[in-house]
Amino acid sequence: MSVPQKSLLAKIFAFFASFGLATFTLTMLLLITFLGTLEQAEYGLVASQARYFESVFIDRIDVGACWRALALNAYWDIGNVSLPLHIVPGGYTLMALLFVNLLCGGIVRIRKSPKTIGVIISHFAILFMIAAGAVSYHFAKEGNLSLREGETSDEFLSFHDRVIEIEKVQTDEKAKRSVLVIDQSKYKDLAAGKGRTFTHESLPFDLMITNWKQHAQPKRDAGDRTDAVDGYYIQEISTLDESGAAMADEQLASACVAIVKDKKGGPEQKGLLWEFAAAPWTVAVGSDKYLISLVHRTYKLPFAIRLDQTEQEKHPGTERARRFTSKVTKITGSHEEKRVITMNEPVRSEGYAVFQQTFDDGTRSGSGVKSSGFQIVENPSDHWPLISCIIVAQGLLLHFLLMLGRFLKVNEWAFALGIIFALNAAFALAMWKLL
Amino acid sequence: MKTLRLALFTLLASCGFIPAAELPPLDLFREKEVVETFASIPVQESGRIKPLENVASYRLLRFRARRSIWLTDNGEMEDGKPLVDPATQKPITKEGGKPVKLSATEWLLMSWFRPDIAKTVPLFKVDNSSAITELGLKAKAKRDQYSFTEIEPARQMLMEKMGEYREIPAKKQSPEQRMIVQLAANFLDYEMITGHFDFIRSPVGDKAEALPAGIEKPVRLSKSLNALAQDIRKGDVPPMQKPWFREFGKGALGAMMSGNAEQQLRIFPPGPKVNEVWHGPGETIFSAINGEKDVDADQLAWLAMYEEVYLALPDATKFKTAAKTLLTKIQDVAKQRGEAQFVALERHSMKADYFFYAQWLFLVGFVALTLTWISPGSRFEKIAKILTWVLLATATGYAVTGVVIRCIIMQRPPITTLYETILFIGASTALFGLIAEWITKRSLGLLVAAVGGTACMFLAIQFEASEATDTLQQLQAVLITNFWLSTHVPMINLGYSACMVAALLSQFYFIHRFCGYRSSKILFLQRAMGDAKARESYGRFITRVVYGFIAAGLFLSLVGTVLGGIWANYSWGRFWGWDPKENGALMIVLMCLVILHARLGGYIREIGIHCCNLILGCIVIFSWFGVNQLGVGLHAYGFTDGTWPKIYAYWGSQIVLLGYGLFLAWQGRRAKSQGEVDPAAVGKAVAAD
Repeated sequence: MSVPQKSLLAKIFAFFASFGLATFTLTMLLLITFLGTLEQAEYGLVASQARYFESVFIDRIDVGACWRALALNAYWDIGNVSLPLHIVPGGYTLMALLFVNLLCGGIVRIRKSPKTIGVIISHFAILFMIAAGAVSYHFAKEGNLSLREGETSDEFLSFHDRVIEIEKVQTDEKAKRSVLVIDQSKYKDLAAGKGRTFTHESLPFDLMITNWKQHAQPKRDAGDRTDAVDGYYIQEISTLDESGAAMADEQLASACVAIVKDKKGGPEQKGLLWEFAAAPWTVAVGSDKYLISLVHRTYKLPFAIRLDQTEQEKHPGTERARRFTSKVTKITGSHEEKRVITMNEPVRSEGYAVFQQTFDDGTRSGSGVKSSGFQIVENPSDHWPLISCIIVAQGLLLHFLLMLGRFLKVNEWAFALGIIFALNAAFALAMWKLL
Repeated sequence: MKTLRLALFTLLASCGFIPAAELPPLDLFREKEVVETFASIPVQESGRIKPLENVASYRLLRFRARRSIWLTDNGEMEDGKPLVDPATQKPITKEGGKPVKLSATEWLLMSWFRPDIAKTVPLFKVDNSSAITELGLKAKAKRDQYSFTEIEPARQMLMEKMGEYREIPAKKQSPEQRMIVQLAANFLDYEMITGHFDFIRSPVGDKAEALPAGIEKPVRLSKSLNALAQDIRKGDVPPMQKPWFREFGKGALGAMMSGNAEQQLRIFPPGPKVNEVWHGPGETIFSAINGEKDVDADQLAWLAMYEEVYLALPDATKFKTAAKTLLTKIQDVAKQRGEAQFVALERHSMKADYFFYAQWLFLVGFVALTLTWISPGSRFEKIAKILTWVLLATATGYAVTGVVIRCIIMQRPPITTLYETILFIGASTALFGLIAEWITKRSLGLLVAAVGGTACMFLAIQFEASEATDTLQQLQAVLITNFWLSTHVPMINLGYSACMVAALLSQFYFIHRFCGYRSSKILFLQRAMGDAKARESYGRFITRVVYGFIAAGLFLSLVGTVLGGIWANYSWGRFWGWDPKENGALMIVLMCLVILHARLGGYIREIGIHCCNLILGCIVIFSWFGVNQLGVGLHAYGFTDGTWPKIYAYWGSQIVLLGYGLFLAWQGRRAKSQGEVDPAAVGKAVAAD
């Protein structure tokens, strides 16, 4: 029996459309999800998310941490075992593979018949969901804004994204602020002994960053440190809390050493940058002054928000919160609009959504003034998952109910469509009555 | 207030118990009328209104891991000698000299009104006798129960150790340290319970001569509270130095009835349209001490009414009337406020104990099911099968009713805590089983309902006892949305349930194969399972049903998970956060997808599906209980100690089955490659479908 020779292109397509690739990708996703979840116990959500779910390849797997997360060390302590690899595909690669695989196998190659229509619909919906994820990963901005009663702001801070900001001090107060930003990805590999110089045509100096630490505090130098700057050095601290669990990312304070080198050959100036520093580092180069700081990335809103009043309701006789509500004013130019933000009911406007996140009655901050923390998100694919969910639900229901109908030996289409209609009606009713 | 309470705890340690003039007989507090009255009193605790019976029940459960207690020297019926009533010096027995068993409400009443007896009852369960030794006390058995009187000599030591160990993070505490912290908390709470009426028995001790002027004797706080509070507010000397304050403060602590502010006794509803927080005897006294102004007449009237109840003793008739008057008044005011409308329903559900009976009915149903295997095809099988149906349907009905009543009491959808997931998954697994049985009629669905139902109800009861806190909890702010709680959460849990059913069926498949292999030697199995062909066809039938459940599991988990993401997106702005619970749900979805696609690709066949299914079951267990143990993330709502060993036990059992599955697959492949057509071998190992 002679098999016609397939072209290379056809072979490649067949590979990308294969069940084998689907099974492999799904299994790998399952595995990295498992490991990435376990590592969260010691590395925290943000770090393991970056390592496992957003990476192209996983740089290493801390088997010891996973082992301890499963509490297996109670039986057998394996200590610190880490697999340095760069061959296991990370979440980003796997999602991309799955997308291609779904497109080739689940949409293009799949047999088109009434029997497979549900599967095709579901595959399409999942493609859409992966696309939503990609759009959100690349283009969404999210951060928080903390306002005290009476305070107004039109900026919010990223949760996890840190940057080094360089701002020229303007002599004219009305002049527009302009800030140069160095992304964290450009300097977070600069451990002790490594350095990188950043330069920009508008600056009269080059900026060298070195000795970056993820979580640190400045310490007074007793006189024996070689890395001290103005009598202080950066002391690294553990990212684990006292019970051995990872601290939340927002509790971490990174720090680094910055060296300003005058392009005209003036003397080098050295300073410490620390996230929790009360003020930026001020350097004078020539006749100009510059502010350099290590901060969470700032985003600008197209409108300003003023917090007018904020309230917290508690379950009676307890300290458990039942509801947080903030009355705010949205200010666009001279136009003011009153809005109410409460738990589960954000305010959406101009592509931004503002959510009530935290509340402080003034005791935590010690200021005695009530304040609200808002989460602010701008996500172009905001509503895509909802659409995708509705489609995938219909697709899967159709497919599996047709199968069940055949199993039960009833009129499969009437059976499937009838139940789908009933379920959708029930869901719509729930939305109408409860939402 | 907190600091004052703490100071009182430490300073007033050694105050003895003050006996009332004449002690009422214990039997009074076992009379149905009295018990019913007190059990029905609405109480505001942990943010919701519940019957006093509920409070008593969870306190007792926390102290001794059970909801009733025997008045014997070992707290049990067996081998226990009845306790002796210190007042009469007679053993406490009922007719025929048998020991007395108290319900939770009866126990609470005894603790309130007859603390002299209550303190001799072995109440505190100690799982680790080395904790007792550490306190310098004489330990009994490794696991035993100790009375208040037995622990009391080590009170000082207990407090010191608690202070020390509480500083250690929970994860790093040793079992002994945990035990001591728990024992200390329980001991202090019980001290407050037994001293609950001290503020009436002896509000200021015998230091009457040092009282501020104008205080009537005998001192009643309903009359003199404001005068005493004014004397404290005068601030001439620190309150602790006032001679009468010691007893007064101790009485106030007892009146609170719990060191946990959320659990203090609040039984006085304020008038309609006043604030939401109910008052209580302890709260009234403390607000007088700490407040800037006098306590309202309204609150003092409540206090007076409460005093009436205690002071009516030992006259039984007067006591009953006073208690009923109090109950009626609380109920009336609560009704005017539009509250406490479900207290009666809650009492009914406690009495009916739906999940306990459901557990036994499921278990008996399982036994009935095994009877159907004895002689297939006979009339006996038919009868046994009908019996199984009736039992399992009733059990399912019980479980569903229990869940529905909880929804009505709390006015919200069924699942908000880990405990509630167990109930819901138990009830839905049983329903899934019965539906599958109704469609397929080959006993398999009955098996699922019986095993799944029994396991979940058992687990729920164990879980409740180990947590020992009210299982009907108020929700934190973000979760208060009935739409998402009634769509995303049940769907995810139905997904767990469907996948667990699939896993259960695969376990059964391997057990079936194993029994099939043994059936040539055991007559019973041979009769029950038929010949090789029948067994093979039954195996294939199981596989088809399993496939159906994986499909259902995929649909429910996938849509449920995505709905959860949408909830998150619309409520706090992120669709997916890689939170452990989310990841757990994703892992279930992925495993279902792996199974379906690997099957379509021909990588796995019958045995392969079942092997993968066992892994699916392990993933569900990880996602259901395991991820909560990681202690990270938004959904970590149910951290429970000692869960890992149980998860490992389940995983271990599945690995054994998986090993057997791989052995079968290997055997099947070898048989195929050797081209064997020996019919006996087919019976031994039919690998592929």
